[in-house]
Amino acid sequence: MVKRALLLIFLIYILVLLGLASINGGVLALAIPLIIYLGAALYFGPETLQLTVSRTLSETCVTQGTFVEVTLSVTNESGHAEEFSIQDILPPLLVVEAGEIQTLAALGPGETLTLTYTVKGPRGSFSFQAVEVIVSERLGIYRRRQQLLAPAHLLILPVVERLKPVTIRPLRTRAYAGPIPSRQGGSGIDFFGVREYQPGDPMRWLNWRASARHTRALFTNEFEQERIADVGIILDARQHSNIYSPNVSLFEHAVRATAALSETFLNEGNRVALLIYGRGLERTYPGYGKVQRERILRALAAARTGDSLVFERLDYLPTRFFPPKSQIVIVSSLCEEDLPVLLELRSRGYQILIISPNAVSYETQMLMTRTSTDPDATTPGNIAMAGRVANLERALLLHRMRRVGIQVVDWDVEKSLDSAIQASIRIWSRGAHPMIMAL
Amino acid sequence: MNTPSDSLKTPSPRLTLYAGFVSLGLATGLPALGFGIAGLLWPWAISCVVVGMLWGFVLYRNVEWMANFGLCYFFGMTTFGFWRGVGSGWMLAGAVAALTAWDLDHFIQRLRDAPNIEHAQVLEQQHLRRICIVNGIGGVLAGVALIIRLHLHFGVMFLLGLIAIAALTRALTFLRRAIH
Repeated sequence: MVKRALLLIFLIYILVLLGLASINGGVLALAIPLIIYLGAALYFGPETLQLTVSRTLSETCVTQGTFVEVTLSVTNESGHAEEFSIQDILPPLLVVEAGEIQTLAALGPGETLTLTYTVKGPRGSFSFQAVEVIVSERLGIYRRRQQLLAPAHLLILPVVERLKPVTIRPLRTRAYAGPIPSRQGGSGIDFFGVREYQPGDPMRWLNWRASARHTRALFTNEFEQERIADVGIILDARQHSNIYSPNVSLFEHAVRATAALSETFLNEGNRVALLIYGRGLERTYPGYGKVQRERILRALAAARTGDSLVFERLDYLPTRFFPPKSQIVIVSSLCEEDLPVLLELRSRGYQILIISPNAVSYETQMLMTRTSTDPDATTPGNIAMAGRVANLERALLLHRMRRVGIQVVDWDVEKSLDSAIQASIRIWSRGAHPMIMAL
Repeated sequence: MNTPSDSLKTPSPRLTLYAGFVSLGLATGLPALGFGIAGLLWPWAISCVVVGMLWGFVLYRNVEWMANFGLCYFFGMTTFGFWRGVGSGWMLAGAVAALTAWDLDHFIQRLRDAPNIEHAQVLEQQHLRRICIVNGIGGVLAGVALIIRLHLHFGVMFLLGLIAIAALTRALTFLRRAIH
């Protein structure tokens, strides 16, 4: 709008100068309507308004894919706004699904203007800050711009996929009943051993065969107690382990897997902690139940990949965060440099389960898709060859981990996580070395 | 105040469009008529008609720069007409109509740029009322200025000119500060 005022003033200047130079009253008279127009704009110009703004969200914490209604109310506490334009400044990545974020109106003193719209967005934490208000007189020359603060926060949680129970067997369990065999005798389902009868033992537990071999003693069956355990989930958020694509990045799949796993373990009553390792250490301390589930989902909502020279490798994993001999679940696409750290963790008695999104097949597929659209891209033959070599390297790495008893689920992200985990569990239960499984 | 039925999405500012075309027609026709009567049909009258038609064509298509060009052009033409002694009434009326068309063109663009408008018809009516009053007063005062003959010393005129320029510069600074 300054341009319009500049144009008017420029024309007035020219007309006045020409009129004076040519001593032509008609030319000077032509400037009068322009001067009156500009004068009217200045005379009716907007005064400073006292505006109050409030913002409400229909929900402040939602799951990905849910629509959120945003309602903005602006009240004019004083003065008259002949033309009043309000525009909400949306956080990046949020998309308006219905309604408008901008409106134009006249706003008298005491009147309220309400703006309602619906947004949707990806996983993350979004902060609404300011609203831009432009007040002007009717001719649109003289405008005042104001930014009013109307803060609100929206958290969009990742979608939680339901998984079938994941079999884990850490060396140490906790004192409460749960689904995990505890390597201790007591009441349970699976046979554990035989001990001498003690008064009070149920008669149905008597082991008659063992008792028949001893004339003076009776023996009772012992069953393996089932307890809950400590589960520490580590989400690898290092930049180099992520692959971006036009659709969903590999890290997004990893986040969804982490959310699904934490839900599964918490539903079984286990105590679950989360560590996001990447640009720093983002800890969610161990806890149980729905409260812990919320904490973990909120941490995952804000999770971002990042790079840090300190946390480039897994060397600085804070093992004190995980109780000794507990279960550690790592969600990472893995690289060669991670192997020594994982071996060391295993040697300390941690039971390790790795859910590894297959970065090689993911990237191969992405490159193959790109060759069909981009004529300058590498040929499919070369991509397939490079993919085979990379897959061989990856298979070797996973084999070296499996050899020391680390359970690895090689997950092709195009397929369901549940089916990948269950397939791996079936293989472990069939072919696992008893020595390694007992460790 | 803000009932859903009162708001308009992607408004069609018909009233303002009609007024815009009418004022554009006057801005084109009046100077062209003045030039025609003065025997300056070609190229002056014809060029007024051509520019007017071009502006009219893009008025409906939201081309921002055309309004500014049209205003400068018609004020240039009317200044030329005054200098060549063409009927001052025709020229002045044409200039006022051009200013009205320029204002309405920008108003239509503002309405179109807003995805949602509350009480669009009321806004249009109030704007038209304001522009009629302001340009009416401007036109009348300019007409009176044409009729009244004042003999001023060149020095006085020069001083008045300087005051006018200083006032305009002041107004521009004020507008810039207020906007930013």
